[in-house]
Amino acid sequence: MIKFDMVRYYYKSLLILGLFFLMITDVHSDGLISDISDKNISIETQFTGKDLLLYGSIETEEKIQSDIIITVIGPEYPLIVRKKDKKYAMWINDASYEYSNVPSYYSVYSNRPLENILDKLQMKKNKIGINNLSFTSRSELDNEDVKLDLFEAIVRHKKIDKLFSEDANGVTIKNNKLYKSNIHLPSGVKEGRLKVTIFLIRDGNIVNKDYLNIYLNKRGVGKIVYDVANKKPFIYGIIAVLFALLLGWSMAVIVKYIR
Amino acid sequence: MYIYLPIAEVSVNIFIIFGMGGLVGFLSGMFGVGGGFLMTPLLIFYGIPPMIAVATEANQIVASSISGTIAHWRRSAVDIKMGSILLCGGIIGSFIGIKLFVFLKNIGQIDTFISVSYVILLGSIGSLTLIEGLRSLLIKKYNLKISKKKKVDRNWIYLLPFRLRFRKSGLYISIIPPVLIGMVVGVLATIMGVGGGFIMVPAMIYILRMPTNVVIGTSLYQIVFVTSLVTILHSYQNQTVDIILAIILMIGGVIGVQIGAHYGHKLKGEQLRALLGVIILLVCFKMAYDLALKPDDLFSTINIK
Repeated sequence: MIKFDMVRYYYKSLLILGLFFLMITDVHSDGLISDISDKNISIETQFTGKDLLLYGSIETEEKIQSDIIITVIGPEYPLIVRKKDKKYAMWINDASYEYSNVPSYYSVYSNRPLENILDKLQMKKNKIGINNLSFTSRSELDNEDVKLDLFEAIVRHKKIDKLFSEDANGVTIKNNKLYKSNIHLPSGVKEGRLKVTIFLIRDGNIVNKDYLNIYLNKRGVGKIVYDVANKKPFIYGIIAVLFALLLGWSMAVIVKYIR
Repeated sequence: MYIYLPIAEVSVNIFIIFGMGGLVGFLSGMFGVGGGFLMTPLLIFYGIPPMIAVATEANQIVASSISGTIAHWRRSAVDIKMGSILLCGGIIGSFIGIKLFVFLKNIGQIDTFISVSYVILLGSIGSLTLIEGLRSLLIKKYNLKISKKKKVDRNWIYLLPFRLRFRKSGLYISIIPPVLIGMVVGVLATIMGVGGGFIMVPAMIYILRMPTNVVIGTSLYQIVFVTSLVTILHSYQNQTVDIILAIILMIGGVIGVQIGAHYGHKLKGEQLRALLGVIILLVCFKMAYDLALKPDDLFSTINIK
């Protein structure tokens, strides 16, 4: 009997303790619940880009206006940057620099300009804002100007392909409770996992974060073609030739038949 | 309608690609030229990466040349023995070509090299075609009679060793010149994505002295095999053959060739030839202009797989 009582007492106190902690966290932290309209995206031959709806609620008792920043980061890939110079009356590639970790995709959305929300240090630490990204160079780079030129070139090219983007009006917050954002994936987006991080910010401090994943998969004919071409390049070449021979031969037959 | 090319990794308008295939096919049918030397630059102008344009075009030529070979085969206008000797050279040339291609790719100069090769090639073929066309136009207009050079029956070719009898062509010559011609064509096919008929045909007529009735068929026969090998080599070494792009081009090309061949019979040859010369030169100037013009952006970025 005594033993049973003790166990019961033990559970009771654990329950109370748990409830107490729950209350504390409820008071001091701000909840953030997020979801996205589509988590598995297939890239097929007709893929011309996709818009996703990211939405959620901010659970808070605070009266101060909250800020939301959303970053979406794709898998990192090595990249070569080449610079053209005038040689023999032509503009040809001269210097070449290699980077080991450039995200294939990066976008950031916020409800107002980033610099009004967070300080530089916190943005850098959390990879918020294109200019706060850093790429590791495999080449020796002493000259700061060259470094900057290269960084700007990478960003410029990614922006042209819409693979890097910043939108300071990309998040709308309603009644300090609900937020939503439109995530745009352009046609050139690469296969893999996109890491979505939602930052809840108040008074210039990150008070909560939420994480989501979007999975991009190549599918259909394009996927098969890409896989065979890269994994079995010799067989792919033979298939390409056989296809051409078959097509050309059948055309010869058709033309003869018509005449 | 846009379609995503899985290897080129760009979205293209399917009708524009189809139209380009048709247009070049039309010119091929009209003038009896291969068309690879026009198709590859057009693809590059449209924004297809040069390495992919070259490899994919080689694949397309397989289709167009097999049709032509079958047609000539039916007329028994193929010298297989000569074609096979040319092919031996072509195989050696293709392997040399792919080594050079990969080396230039690794040092980042392949795009420039392709462009420069095209400027030289198109510049020379274009001017020759234009001059030839204008010359025959003038001759016709003023009824000029130009005495043709006497055909020299025996030239230096007959002094070389390793002679072989080619019954179909009625020749007994050394295999060294055809092997060398085949090699040059093999290198060009690999680096530029062309069949090489525009070099091989004149070389067969003027250097080897083959009878004209078997020249085209024999050249096409060699092109089928060389471009097949080039397609496989590019696929194996660089993974740059885009089957989807190739298929659209093949279908457009086949239709264009038929229409072009139909109209080609109705138009005057000399004017046509001058026109072709002008088209080739325009493409050449555009290519040279792109090389000489200071680019808006000096930097280029390439993803590594």
